[in-house]
Amino acid sequence: MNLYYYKAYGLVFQSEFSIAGLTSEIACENPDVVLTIGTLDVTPYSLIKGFLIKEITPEGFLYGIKDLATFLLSDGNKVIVDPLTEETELWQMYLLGSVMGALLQQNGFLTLHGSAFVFNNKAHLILGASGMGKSSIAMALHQKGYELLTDDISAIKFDSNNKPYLFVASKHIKLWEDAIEHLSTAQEDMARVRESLPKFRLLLDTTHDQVKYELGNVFILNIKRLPEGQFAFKHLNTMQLLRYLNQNVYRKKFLLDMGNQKDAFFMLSQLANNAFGTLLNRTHSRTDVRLVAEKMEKFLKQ
Amino acid sequence: MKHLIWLASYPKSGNTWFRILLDSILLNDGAAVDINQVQTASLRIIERQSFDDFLEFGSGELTLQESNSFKHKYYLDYGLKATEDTFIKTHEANIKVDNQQQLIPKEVSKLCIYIVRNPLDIVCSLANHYVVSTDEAIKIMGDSSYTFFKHEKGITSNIPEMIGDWSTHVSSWLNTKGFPVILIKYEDLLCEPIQTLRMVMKELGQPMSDQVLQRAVDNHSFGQLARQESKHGFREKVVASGAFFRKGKANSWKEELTKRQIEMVIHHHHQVMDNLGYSTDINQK
Repeated sequence: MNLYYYKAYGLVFQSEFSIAGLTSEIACENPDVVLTIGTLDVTPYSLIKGFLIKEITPEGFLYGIKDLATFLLSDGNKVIVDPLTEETELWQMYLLGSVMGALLQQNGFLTLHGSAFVFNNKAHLILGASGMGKSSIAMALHQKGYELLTDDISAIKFDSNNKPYLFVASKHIKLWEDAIEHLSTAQEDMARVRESLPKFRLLLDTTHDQVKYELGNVFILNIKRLPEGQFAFKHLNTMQLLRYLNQNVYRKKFLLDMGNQKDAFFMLSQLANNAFGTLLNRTHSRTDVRLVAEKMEKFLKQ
Repeated sequence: MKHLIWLASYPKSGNTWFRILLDSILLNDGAAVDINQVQTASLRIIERQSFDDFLEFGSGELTLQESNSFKHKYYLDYGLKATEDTFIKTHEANIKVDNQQQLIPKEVSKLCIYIVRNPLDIVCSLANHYVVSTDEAIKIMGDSSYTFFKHEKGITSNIPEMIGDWSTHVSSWLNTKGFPVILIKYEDLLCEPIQTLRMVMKELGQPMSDQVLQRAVDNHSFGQLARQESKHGFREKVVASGAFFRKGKANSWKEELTKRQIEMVIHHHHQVMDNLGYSTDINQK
């Protein structure tokens, strides 16, 4: 059987199936996470909200979406996938999204919803609600020469001095067609994330010399009524930052499901105490990502 | 318990104005309200983040059909969690999802107040709002797949709302089964605001004195709303358009539409217009 190896968030993954969107790694004997295809029996469990399975079972955390796929995550080092759809891209989307979020939480990471880039050898986060343009801005910064570290999920751990570090995820970024057009970043080998959607996965020309980076700024994206092309940066105090960080925890409900809420809140507090928080107010405009990137660069240089 | 009260309409039919009036009547004793601080019928339900939190996965990579299917469950869950009567403003058509149930779950819906407006007037308002030609606005109103917040090449921070064409939109709500739908004509709200609001408040089980109703109407004329918008902007205006609050008049189409354009609108929508008592005489101008 062919085995595939990938590296993300400082973990080596060994998989029975290829995964579009992760960065390949050389084969190793002791992977951190093993992914296999298997059959998972969900009959003892009832659907939540009519489509969701979330159960702590003796074997681990069972997560499934009706008619799409079921996943069993055990001890943060083993994932069994039971695909229920033939659309591989679709179940892998859940694998690299919600399932990866839960897996990282099992591995003791604080997971936040956002992208990150390097400036002055520090990782800077861009957090915000879905559809706010986090990936587009991250791509615009990448085009300006700032290495992209992660797209969508930011995984953080702390050293013994409570200093937060962001772990590098992948060399891929997912962008919608409009962002690709605005940023003139079309590539020959870019692939649709789903056949039916105008969203593409791009492989970036980046080295990722380090596994993790000390955390610098946390930018929180916020839509505000401002004149077109106007932006406002506002420093956040610790309590304000804590509130925004809490709003941007990736798959927060999983923490409750898996009993990790207390640990996560402790890490959020540590992060709020040790990071510099900035609220970035911008307009609804979808065409100003380059300008936003310029303003962020200028802000960081100051 | 059924707690959801839907404030539904095709876009540019007076839903926002009506919601401001309700806010003034129910929460402010008829006093003037800040158009950017309206509490009645929070729009948070259409925020993508709320939808994603419910799904526990990202909705951005769902097809429109998948999104609609999950949205029915989302509204159901929202209604099951409501502990008191909750207004929801919507432009969704109450279409069938998965070829089965209607999008709006009857199990948790107490009532719908459906606001309808003469489509000839909507055309003019829509053209201004979307900064498109009148012909393009007519086309939008006849487009059975028309969807709000659907970006052909990307996503927005709101979830897509299935609008459809004007006739289907109206029919989808007026033929709703499982909870009552109260029909209000925009034109009645303009010409007979007190009688119309009195009827609505009675249906809501919250009768108010005519003084409160009158105060609310006096404090929220289109001129006053337009002045607020011009001074402070309007955060619910999601497209780069002209003013959200424009004329607010009935029969503007008589000055703004050509005979050909009137014919086009009537051709598309005559059946529903007839049912609602809007004239379909193409020579009426």
